[in-house]
Amino acid sequence: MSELFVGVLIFVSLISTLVAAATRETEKLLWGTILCSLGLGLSILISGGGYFGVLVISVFLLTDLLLYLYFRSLYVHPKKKLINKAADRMNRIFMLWMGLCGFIIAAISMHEFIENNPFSGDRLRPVALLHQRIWGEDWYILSLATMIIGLVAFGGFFLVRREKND
Amino acid sequence: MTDLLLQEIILVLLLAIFLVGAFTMLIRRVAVWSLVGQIIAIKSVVAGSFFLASYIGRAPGDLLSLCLLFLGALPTVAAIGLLVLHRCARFGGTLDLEEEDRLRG
Repeated sequence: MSELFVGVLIFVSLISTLVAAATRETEKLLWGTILCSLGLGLSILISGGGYFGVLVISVFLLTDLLLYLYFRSLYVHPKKKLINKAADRMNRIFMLWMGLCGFIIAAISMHEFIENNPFSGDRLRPVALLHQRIWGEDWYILSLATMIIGLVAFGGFFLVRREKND
Repeated sequence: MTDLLLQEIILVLLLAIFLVGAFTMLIRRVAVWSLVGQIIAIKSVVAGSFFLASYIGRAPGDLLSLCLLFLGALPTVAAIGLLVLHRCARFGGTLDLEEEDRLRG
């Protein structure tokens, strides 16, 4: 039964992807990518992904948030003029920061702090395999390098971008 | 419907999402949609590698490594792609590649 539900979720993701890819409107594109992210992430979560499923949903939605913030910076969506550019910049940084904190907190709390957590990874085979293969000492170095690259990209986005002048 | 058939359908659907992303990247002439196609394709690789690791018994750890690698790459690719788009600055508010062609002329 769960496999059938996973199939339905992925089918919904496919339809959302088609809408996002074919539309000419930014609002439909955003909603299409968000539904695609939720569909794929929930299917992983239901299939025994455990806290990894939460991590996948968070990373996917964080990426969609980046897209939304980009559209805001161009006044494409929403089509409102800025009252205060500095305040709007701070709002974007804050939204991104909340998104990052949210997914880190969600993933860590799911994994470690909640007792008898039904999403705890060790009891679920795919995530148990993930732990065997991934969380070795050498992967700490790789994850550190990945985080540094990510920070440079995010930091660069906010440091070098120019405001669009009306 | 058997579990095996359902698993095959799930993998085919994920392949379809990947193909939609790839074709969007290649066919759409608006720059942001091209980036969206890349993002969609990477999302499908993440999900596909996870499900493949769940379904097959051999070397699932390598597939999960692939899953984690692409999961880490997704926001970085998106951020770098959006940074490039924004720095180009010639797209104005239209996000239209045809405008870019006229500027080259």
